[in-house]
Amino acid sequence: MNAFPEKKRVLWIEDGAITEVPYLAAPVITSGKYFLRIVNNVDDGLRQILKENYDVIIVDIRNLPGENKELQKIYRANRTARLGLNLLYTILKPDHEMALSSIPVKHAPTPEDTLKFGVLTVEEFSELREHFAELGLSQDVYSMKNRRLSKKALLELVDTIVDRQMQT
Amino acid sequence: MKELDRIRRAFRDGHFELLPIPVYLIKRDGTFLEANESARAFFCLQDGEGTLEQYNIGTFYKNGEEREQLVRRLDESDKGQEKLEAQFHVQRKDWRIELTCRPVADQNGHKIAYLDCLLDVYEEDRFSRLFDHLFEGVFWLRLDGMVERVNKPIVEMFHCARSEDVEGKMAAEFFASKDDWETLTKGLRKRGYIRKYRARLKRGPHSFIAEINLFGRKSSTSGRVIGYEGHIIDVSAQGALNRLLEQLGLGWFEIRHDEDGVDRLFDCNQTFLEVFGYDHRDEVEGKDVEKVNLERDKRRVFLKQLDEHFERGEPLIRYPLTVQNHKGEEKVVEMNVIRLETGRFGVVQDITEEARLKTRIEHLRADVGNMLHSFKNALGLLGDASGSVSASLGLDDQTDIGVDIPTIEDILKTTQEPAQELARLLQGLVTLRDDDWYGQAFSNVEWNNLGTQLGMLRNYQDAHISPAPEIQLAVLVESVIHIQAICRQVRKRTIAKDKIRDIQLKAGDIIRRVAARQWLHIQTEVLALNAEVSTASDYLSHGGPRKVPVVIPLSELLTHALEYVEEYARRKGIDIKKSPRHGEAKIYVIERGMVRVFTNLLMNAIKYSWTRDNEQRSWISVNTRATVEPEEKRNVVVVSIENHGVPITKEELDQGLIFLFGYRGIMSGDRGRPGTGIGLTDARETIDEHKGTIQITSRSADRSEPDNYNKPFITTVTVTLPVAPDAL
Repeated sequence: MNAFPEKKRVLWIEDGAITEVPYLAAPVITSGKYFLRIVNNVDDGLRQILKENYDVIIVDIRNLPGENKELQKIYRANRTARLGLNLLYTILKPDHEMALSSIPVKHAPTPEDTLKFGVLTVEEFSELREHFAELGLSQDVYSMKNRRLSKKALLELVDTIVDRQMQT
Repeated sequence: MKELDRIRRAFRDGHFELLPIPVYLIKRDGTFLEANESARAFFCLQDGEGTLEQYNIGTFYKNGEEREQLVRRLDESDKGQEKLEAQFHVQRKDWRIELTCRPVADQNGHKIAYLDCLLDVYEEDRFSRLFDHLFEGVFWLRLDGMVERVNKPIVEMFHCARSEDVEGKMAAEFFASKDDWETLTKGLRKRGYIRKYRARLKRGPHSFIAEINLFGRKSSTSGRVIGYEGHIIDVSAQGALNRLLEQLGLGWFEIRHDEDGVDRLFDCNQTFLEVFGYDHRDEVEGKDVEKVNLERDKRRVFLKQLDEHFERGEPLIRYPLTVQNHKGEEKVVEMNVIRLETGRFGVVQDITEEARLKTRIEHLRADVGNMLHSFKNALGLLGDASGSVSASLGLDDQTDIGVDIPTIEDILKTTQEPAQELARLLQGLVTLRDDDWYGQAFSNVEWNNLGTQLGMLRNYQDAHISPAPEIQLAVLVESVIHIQAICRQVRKRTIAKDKIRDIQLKAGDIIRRVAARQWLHIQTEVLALNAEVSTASDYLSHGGPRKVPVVIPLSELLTHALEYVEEYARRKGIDIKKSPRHGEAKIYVIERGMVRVFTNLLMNAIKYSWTRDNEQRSWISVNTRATVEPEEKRNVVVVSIENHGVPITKEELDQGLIFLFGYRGIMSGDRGRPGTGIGLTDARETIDEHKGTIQITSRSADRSEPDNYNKPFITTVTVTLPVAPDAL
């Protein structure tokens, strides 16, 4: 039962490592424009993406694996593994080597799919530049978590993605 | 032909056979005419009547053109004999050869043959390098027993300054007993070698036992014995000690009292000389030690220490001394001195570099300690503000919030009613939008936003909108802030002031309740930070100038430590369970350091405690007991501190990573817990200083999932300290 069916649906895949999660989430919710769902790991994120139709998907690159064995294996080998990238490749470039083989993506990605995604992460953009190019993402949909992070950072990122969709 | 015949006859008469070097006679075109035994051996020439003429010297040159150049040079020379160099390839080896060549002319003065003598210089050069770089003493003797050549270790072994002090002397002079030398030479003549012959050799006015190996030194070309070569090992105990200490980079010295009671440097090694800035033993040997090394004051203190130790029958061990050496360099040395019947013997280690680094680390450590200390001022300011901020947030009466940090759920409950009231007031306001007059109070955007926030106030606890309590609270606050901001924009003379004022008051009440919780949270974090900073600062600055151990009951010490952490534990909602047998045993410790250790350990236990069951309070336990350590056979007290919370991984425990300076556990950073990574380093160092032990274990609270670090772990820190001796 959705109390606000007319609102855009936003999925935020964030492992909750930052204490500011509620303060970033609150402006998105109180803006009245969005329905926000937060999941805390990549596995739950992928399940949500494949099950529900979200208008905006914000991904944290350093993320937890969740229950997925393939993700857990990657994470065990490297605790700083960038599992958010595995998620992005799985949805947007399923043939890529970083895409997860254990996730059945039912349809080939479309340009509209690419326009849904944004990244809010601790990584510098320079560390992700090549991946963004490979995935067809623009720098506009990247925002960096740092100490000066405004509480409106998530809202602004979501607004940017929605604006881009409207322009297209 | 007379000269050529005369030379050939000399060969045939064997005159050249006595020479230990290759000598041969060749025609101008290089064909061999005659060769002595050494030459035949060197060039591998078949012996026999007329067979020599099948060989040609040109075939032995590495480069054929070189011979032609040498012949041209000889033709142009007026000298009767020429010294030349050439490279031969003989016996599958290259030889850089020095040769003398004497042309043989016929009656008309035409050069028809050459008489050559060879000297191998290539092997000689290689051997020289080896000879000089050997660590063992090696030497050459002539057949008549004269020392022909010695290397540096031999020079040092005999306490000489230069090799010339040994070379040219007869070997017999170095033997304390002539019998030894005669035995040795007899053996040499009989067997051609001597192995492991022990003899006493002279060293200045003293002597030492040496092991000597000698064997014939043969010419590399003729194979004849042309002298002896060998090596000497100083096999006296002192010699062995010297070798060992030299290899360890340690200096040693021996000081003896002379008849007048003056301490004189009797002996020392090369490292000792280098440390104290001397080039040669002569500069210090036999000298009054007062003139050798130290400044008077330092010397006085050092000698006092020596006397005190010697009177107790103990050696002076690892005594650090700063000295200005003979070359004016400042050196820091560690002295280890033992008393002898005749004086004293010592080992010196140059620790200048270590001391420099240690000083630097000490300064850095003190700087960090001071820096941390300055943070305490900022934390103090926060403490000073505590009363007024608490009062402004209505925390003084403690009626609705209390002093323990309320949970998110508590705050949601206490703000529910004001939020509903605010929604009611806002609803009243929003209904005025359609009125022509009142509708001018806000812009359309602001009216819309007020409508949105009204929806938020009604639904912020709806799990579809805000799934988690933290987010529900953040949404409530954000929404109230929106409402406050819009109400501040109201156009004058449109809506009655009291309507807006009631909304602002209710909004302020909600914000105050949430802020009060946040303030309590900040206070708790400041408490933790203050404890972290204080203990780290105290540790880094070595706990102040006084470090006098005292005898104190363990219970008293733990009570002090618990006093520091009780407020923090209470605010975190953590109970401290103390064992009823709160140790009455006494321990002999530096109180400040040990209180700091237990404060650190207790703070860690509280800080890293957590529970997922909100109905049940968390707890840590502190247990003490007295026992006897079976291995050490000593009475000890054992303190165990246990908590239920953040895991320490197996790898971190196995590798001892948690005790590393500045290291923070892999799982410790979650939930933003502050920490310096110094506490356990401090604990282990301080406990070690008190001859105690510290052990840490961490195991999953859920035995079915021993490696699941997402679940709580039971971590136990066990500290063992010796009980104070009764005599104290």
